[in-house]
Amino acid sequence: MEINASLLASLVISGMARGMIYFLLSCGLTIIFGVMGVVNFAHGAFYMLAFYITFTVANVIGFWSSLIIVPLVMILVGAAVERGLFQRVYKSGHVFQLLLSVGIIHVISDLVRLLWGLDPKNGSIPNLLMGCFDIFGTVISKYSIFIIGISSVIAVVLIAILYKSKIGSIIRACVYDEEMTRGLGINVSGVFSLVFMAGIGMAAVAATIAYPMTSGTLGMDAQMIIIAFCVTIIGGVGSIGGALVAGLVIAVVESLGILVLPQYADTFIYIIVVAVLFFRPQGLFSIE
Amino acid sequence: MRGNRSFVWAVGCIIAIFLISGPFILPNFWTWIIIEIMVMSLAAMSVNFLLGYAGCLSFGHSAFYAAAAYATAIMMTKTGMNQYQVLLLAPFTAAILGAVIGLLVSRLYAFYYAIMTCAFAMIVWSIIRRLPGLTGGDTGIVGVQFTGLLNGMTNIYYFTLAVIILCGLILWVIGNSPLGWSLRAIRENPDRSAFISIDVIKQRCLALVISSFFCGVAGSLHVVYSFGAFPELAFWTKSGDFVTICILGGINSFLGPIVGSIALILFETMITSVTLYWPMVLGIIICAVVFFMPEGIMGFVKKFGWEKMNEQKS
Amino acid sequence: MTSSKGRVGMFFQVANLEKSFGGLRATDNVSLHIKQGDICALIGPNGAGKTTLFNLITGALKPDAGKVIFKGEDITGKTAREITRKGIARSFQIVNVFPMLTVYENIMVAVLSQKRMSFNFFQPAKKIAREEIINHLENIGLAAQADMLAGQLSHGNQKRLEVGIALAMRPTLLALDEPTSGMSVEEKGDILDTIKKIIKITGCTVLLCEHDMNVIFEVSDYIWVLQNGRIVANGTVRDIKSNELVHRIYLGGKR
Repeated sequence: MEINASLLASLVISGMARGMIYFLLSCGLTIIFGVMGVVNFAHGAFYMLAFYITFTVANVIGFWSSLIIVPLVMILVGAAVERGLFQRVYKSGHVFQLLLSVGIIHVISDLVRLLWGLDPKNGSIPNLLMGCFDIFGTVISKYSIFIIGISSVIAVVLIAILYKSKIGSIIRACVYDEEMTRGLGINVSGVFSLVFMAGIGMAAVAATIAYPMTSGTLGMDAQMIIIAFCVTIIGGVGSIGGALVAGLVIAVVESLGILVLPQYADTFIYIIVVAVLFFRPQGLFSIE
Repeated sequence: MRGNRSFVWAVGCIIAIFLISGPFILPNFWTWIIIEIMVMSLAAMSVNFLLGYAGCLSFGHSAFYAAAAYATAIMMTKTGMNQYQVLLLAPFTAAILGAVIGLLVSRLYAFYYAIMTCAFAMIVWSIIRRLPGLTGGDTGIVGVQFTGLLNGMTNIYYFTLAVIILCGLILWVIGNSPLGWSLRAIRENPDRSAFISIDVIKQRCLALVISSFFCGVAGSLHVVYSFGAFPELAFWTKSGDFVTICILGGINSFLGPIVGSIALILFETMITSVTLYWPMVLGIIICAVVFFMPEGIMGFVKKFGWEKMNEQKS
Repeated sequence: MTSSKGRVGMFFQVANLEKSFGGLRATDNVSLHIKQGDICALIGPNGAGKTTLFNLITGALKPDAGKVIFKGEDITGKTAREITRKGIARSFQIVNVFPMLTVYENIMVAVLSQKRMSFNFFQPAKKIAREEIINHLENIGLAAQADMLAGQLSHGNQKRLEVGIALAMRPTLLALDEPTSGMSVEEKGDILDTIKKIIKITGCTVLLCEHDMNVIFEVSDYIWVLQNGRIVANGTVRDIKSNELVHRIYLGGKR
């Protein structure tokens, strides 16, 4: 295949679209870890669950309704999981939190297998967004633009909430000093629930948006959680801006990497995680 | 008190008799299950060595297990080496991998340690799948036959039993050596350990090498009793199983992994005969252990034992 | 400032040490020295930078500038592990023992490390150097609690264990960071007697960082006074007692 500027530009744009999905997925993980110090290894499994629910809702009702319904459903699921399960292990240390997440992963992924079966689920792009733009010879799909657009809006809203609103400053206070914040009479456990629900909600939006252009298989929870951790670690724990930049960078590198070494695409991600952990465990934008 | 000791000895003797006569009194299926339990206990003991003594949580041991399994399978099928030589050498593959990973991972704080080891396992998994010439790709390597002393369920059973007991003894000795105790110090307080001149990073690295070696022994044994090696052995969830066994059995107990392995595999055997959805049940078991039995079965037994003893006194 | 006589063969010396955290100069051009066999005290009000200086000396922190010289060797910037190996052992102000190990085991791991046996993987650890360990336990007065978990000791006993762990390293320079903090008057007296006894037995030099002036005046041979990261006074107990600046720092006015 001839490698020219417009091909590269296409790859970069589609990479950016995928990067936005990585961002949305990871920003949930990074705020949960940043605010609550809790390791939610099951984040990828929630993404997968959201994806499969989107499959059902999109086929029964329609894609646009799924954009609203799925995140709502997942937020409720997240609330139940946080209240019922994670709350009990906040004080138990990382080992048990990780182990609990592993348990949740097993339950969710087998539930998915039970309800939806083994075959991959493919989505299709809604009619409104099908097709491409041709800009100076570069082919850009309308759907990529849609993803980039809607994710940017969400990113801006999130950052605005976190830095300009009262609830945002309470959340940031919890990150800096949980004891003090509790001492100020703030319902820290309520804040934790809120953050957890928001995190799962973000992952759900990511899954819903990703649905039309990817296919869902039973291994996707493992893939997505590694990517989410990669983004979280590179972007820095607790940093939304960092997750955005890291998500985009990783996805674009992945796209270009596929050109060079197509078979090793997914190994690449794992190698990036190892490299980042070795050289800079705090990440690039960490607030820790 | 003395009553308790004789009780423990009696139980021990019964278990020993059972183990030694196993293949003769049980149907082949159950002999196979016990072999599986033994091999998993060794793998879990290696994880427990790292977790219980050094305090490092690894989700990457599936890489060591698989590396040794594949080394065994490849050497058996592609070289003319004597099968005992193969079994002796294969665990070193795992140990070398452990040394490499150890150099990279040993200065990381607990959570990052877990993630990096997990990423490593996934690197090994994805590489295994992509070298079909060497590893048989997604299908793996099958039909590895051992001969002579290692041929036949009964022989494999006794061989495995002997190896497990030997490895268990070695791990016990190491655990009670100065190395074992300085690892415990590192687990308890890594900062203070530096101030008593302990080289935290080197010791953690050494712990990982030792741990990976014994996990490799388990991986080699895997090929002996299941006649092949498959990429799934390297997938991170296998490491998750080892960790689950450790926690289920009790991380502060030397026998914990053995007890945990018995419990988990028996459970799995029972549940899979009833339903396809074992992973869901496993997930629920894990959650239950985390909430209700974080000390594991041995922890529960010890507490129960204390209470009983105190009752007897009063 | 009076200078100490007998600077022959400098046992331990710190020269022009600097350490800043962001804009804060925690250690500002600090120079001091310790004579072998002395009990040398480092005092100063809260926030004076005692702990930072301690951390710099024992390897917990790396200085921005300056030198630390021990028995003629430059140990500036070396890690805590290396410095401990060279003979400087430290106890911590906030109790920093191995909580789930017994008292015996706490001392044992230190002794085993001191004997460079930490990589020995075949000998049963609990059979090695039993007498030495029990000896250490007796010296710090914890022989009776040998089988108790360190985390379950009383605060006073945990502080004893703190000192004990440092001592088990057979240091030539023992650095004690506020060994009497959090103790009642009675406990303070007890641990001071213990420390004095230990010094007599082992002959080690002591650098003592303290807050309580009575403790200082009772045991010290030489005192360095720190304020705002700088040495502002030094001398014997008599010198310091009569030093007007020190009085002002401790008894009058804010810093």
